[in-house]
Amino acid sequence: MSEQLYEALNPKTYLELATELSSKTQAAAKRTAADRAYYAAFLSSRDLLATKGYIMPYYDAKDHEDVAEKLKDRNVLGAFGNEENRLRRARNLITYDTRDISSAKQHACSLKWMLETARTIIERVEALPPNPQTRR
Amino acid sequence: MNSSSILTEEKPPTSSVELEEIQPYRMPRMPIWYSPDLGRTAIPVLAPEVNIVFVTASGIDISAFYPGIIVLAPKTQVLFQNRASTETLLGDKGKRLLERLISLIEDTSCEKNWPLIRVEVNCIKDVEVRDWQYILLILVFDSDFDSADKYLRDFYKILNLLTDTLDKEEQDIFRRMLYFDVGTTL
Repeated sequence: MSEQLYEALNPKTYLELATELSSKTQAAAKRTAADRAYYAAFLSSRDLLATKGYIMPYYDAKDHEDVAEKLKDRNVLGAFGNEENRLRRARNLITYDTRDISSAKQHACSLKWMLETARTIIERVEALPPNPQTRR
Repeated sequence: MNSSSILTEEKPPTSSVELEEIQPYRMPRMPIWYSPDLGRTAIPVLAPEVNIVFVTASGIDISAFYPGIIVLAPKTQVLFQNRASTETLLGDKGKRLLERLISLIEDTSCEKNWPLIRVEVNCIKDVEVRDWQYILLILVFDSDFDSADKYLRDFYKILNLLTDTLDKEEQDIFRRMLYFDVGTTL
């Protein structure tokens, strides 16, 4: 019998972890918080959209594109769905650019903004009804 | 009798308005923001059907001070990172949609008095997802991040109204290929 290495996860719990990490002073903690804030929003959106019949997930990196597009659908979040992509761009900057990032950097976003945006995206996707076009 | 004086006396009056000497027009004193790097300047244009039209830098609304004045903003500076790639990715219909979006941004900026400096059009290849390419419009504001963020989120409501008017193919292009972000100067 195979050993369970990682149990199933509710990705919304990443947001709690990100909030906790954001209060720490270390750069690694803050950057990890930013990264987890994005993944909380992305993975929660993906799983909720899948459960509600809006997408068929691959459970790999391809889902980034599908989730970003679907959230912008006028029957999902409309133009506000664009915020997920903004969050992703902020996460990419913070994750890949290990140099000093100041607010003067054109696309730099605060951790506070990332946490709030992630929370809002999750709340809005949670509030969506099941996809009426899905045949059950 | 002098014939010309007879004619002058017999001519009935055609107007009760007495013409006075026309005063030379003075430009009203007003603060007009000017950014040398944008190459903008204020140009007064006289048109018969309106009183005065002022072309000003965006962000300055003088209509409240001078009733009857219509304020037009100059064309927003639009910078293409790679115009050819953008147009290839979007196709003809997407290109027209992009033009509509830029016009909408310009109109909204003028109407809402945004401190919009320029719009940057970038062709993005996602670093992690293979074959994911899209167009990113970055609205660069002369403001701090919080204000810029608010402008963009307000703009979403206008974008939603636009998408309601798009056909299915245009909606698909909007959803899959066109994204927005803000840039700031402060």
